[in-house]
Amino acid sequence: MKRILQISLALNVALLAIVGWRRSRETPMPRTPRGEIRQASPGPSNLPVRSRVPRTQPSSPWTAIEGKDSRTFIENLRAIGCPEQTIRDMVTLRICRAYRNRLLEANAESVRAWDYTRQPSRDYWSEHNERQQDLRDEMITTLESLFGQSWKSLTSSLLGRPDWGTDPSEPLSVEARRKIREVDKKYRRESSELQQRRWMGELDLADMARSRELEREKRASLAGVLSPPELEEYLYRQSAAADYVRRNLPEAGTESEFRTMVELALDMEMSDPTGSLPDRHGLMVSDDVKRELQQRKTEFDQRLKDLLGETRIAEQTAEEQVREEAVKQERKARDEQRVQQELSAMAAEVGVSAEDAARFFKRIKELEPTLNQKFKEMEKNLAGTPEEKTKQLGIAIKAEMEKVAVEIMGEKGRALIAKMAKSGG
Amino acid sequence: MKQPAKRKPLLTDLLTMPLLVLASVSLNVYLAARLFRQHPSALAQPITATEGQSESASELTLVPATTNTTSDLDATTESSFHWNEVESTDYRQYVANLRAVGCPDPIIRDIIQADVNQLFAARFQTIWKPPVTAYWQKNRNAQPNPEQRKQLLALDKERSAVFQELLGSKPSQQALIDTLYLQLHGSEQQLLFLPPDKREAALKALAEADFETREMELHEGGRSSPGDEKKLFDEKLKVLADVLSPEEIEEFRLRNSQTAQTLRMEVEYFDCTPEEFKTLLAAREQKAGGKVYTADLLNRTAATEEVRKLFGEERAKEFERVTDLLYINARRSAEKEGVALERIEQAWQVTRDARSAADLIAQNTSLSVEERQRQVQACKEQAEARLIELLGEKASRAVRRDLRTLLGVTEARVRS
Repeated sequence: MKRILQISLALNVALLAIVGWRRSRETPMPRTPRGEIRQASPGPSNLPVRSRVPRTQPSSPWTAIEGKDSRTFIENLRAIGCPEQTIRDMVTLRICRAYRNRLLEANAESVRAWDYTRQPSRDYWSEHNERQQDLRDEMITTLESLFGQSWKSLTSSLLGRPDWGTDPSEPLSVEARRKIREVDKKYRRESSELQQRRWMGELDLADMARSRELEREKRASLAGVLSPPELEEYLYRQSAAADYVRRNLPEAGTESEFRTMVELALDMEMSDPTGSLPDRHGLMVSDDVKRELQQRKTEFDQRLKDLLGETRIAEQTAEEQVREEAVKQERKARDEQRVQQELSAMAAEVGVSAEDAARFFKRIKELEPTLNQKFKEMEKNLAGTPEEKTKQLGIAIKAEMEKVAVEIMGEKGRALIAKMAKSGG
Repeated sequence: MKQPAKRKPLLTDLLTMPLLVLASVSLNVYLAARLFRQHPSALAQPITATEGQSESASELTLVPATTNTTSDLDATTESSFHWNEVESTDYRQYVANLRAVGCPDPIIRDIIQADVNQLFAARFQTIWKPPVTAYWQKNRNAQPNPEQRKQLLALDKERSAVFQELLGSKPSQQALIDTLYLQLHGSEQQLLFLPPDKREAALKALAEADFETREMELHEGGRSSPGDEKKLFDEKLKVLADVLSPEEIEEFRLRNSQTAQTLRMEVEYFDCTPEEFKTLLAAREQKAGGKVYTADLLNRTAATEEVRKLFGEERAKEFERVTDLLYINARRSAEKEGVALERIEQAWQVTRDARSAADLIAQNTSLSVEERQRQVQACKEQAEARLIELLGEKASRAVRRDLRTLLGVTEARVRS
């Protein structure tokens, strides 16, 4: 027994030492406390707060500040000097989660009711989207009315993504934004059905007329709930005409130029369904729809030219081309970097150094114009079915790449090309 | 010299030794447990995601995120702390302080997640900052370059490590976005048919297997192939098999597999029973042999033969007609316009006849290329006119488009 005790005591000492050593190594995790720790609200220093804890439950300082509704909770947090940012984070998450649970419950019900031997109908998806949008609107209204700031700014701050906070309707009041959501809801279903028809290439002249009518009705409804300056801001920022200008025309040089362009689009009732063809291939748009779209666009472009002047339109077009070219170049550079990284990773797997992989990539880029020309010529002279031609071309490309690879990295080059071919590169 | 008498051990002595051993061994067990605890988080116990998710009721009222609250409102408690007492310049201490005042774990989790996100925000932005546009400017679809992406991923990992250290688990950023934007997708959407407890368990298993990251990586840049999708789906089934019953796994597969989705599209108008659907799905999966199943909705010969073997001649005949792409598209549009089913059947027959006729013309080498082209063209025009007659201009649009494409291919074959 004594022996056991001795061993156990020795172990006690050793373990204590290790635990102590580990504790001493546990580095602090520095944190910057919220800038403004509020002073406790004036009034009773130890605010008596009605808690929802029954007498039988153990109480804690926190239970005293909990409240059944969010306003009480916020007030209680303010009363103990909790920083505003922390209050916003806590309450926003709590509210969003409660709404999400409602969405989960409702969607789970419809998913369970769905017969999985059938495709869900368009109505199924419409209801699904409608429910989600309704709940989101309600959630946004709740949050914005509690904090007096936009939902976008609340969420972007919580996510640590300040760049996600741009909301075109930000300058409008919380109340105006709520009214806009309510009006939107009235027209949402029909608008999205029309949009859907447009995407499916099913839009006809009657749909286009209905789309313009809906926009007019919506504008009238908004005029009934918003003040004239609020309506004006809305139209410049969020209307279908503003979307049309942003999506389909070269970018305006200034805000005032943009507003001029939107005014014309509003006047001519231009919107995506009534002013532009869906940007998808293979859709059969009827000839009368095409004609009408073309005619409306020509008229709009002419009036815009009259309004801004031919020189300015030419400038806008040139600026847009420069912008598009820059985007194209940026994308190309990004893609090249990605391919190079993937190549480097594959090279490492077959024992080829990153330097050799980079040299190979550079050489292929240099040879690209010549090789492209060569393969184009070769393609013309191939015989057989399209599948056979593709196969023959693939073999030729592989052989050419292998030749370059072996020149640069020796026999390992073959392994790299085989790996590339396997991964579809 | 009288030797001192050997003292008889007292009862207390007899008891002391075992007690000492017991105490010492207990201490060893405690210290060892402390040492080998998996997550030495700042909290006494790791805060689990499930806890965070289960808080907040689904009811209209926003129930506070504490487990010991009920609807009783009869107690009044003094709030006896100021936030100053909770604040700290060290996260571990901050968490400990929050715990000390009784702040529920889900709320601590929320506070820490937001706090750490805001702490890292500036660092993320020094690596890459997307351009912010004014409302009157076009959206810039800017993306970080691969090097920046690598750095952003590394920083994200660092942030996850902080969460792991503080909370004992890594909260998902995507889950946070989904909560704030009120959206449902991916695995969560796929698992909705399950009861909540099973859903939680399944999501937890997938999170532990890091499926979110894997799915995100797969879909990044839209470069995933159907084969990659299938592979990941099969792996998902394996992970789920540990937490779901075989029946639940089967239902998950029937609802969510790519093959099931393709089959649903194929049998949209076949009106099959659940048993028939299961049989067909099994046959399709077997035929695909672990690869991706793709339906050829234009050539129904092989699929119809399979149905003939499985369900007999009568069902096969119906299957051949109603699973043809042109039938599906014609019926979809025509039903919306209220066209009678009989006319839709006739319209399909028109497309079938036109296709057969065009094929015969294309193969007729006794005619010149120009003549064959002219005849295929005439065949197309005739069929289109008949389709408009049967379904109307609007409802026939989709089926005319399909027929035009198909006969266009026949024409191209004549030319080559």
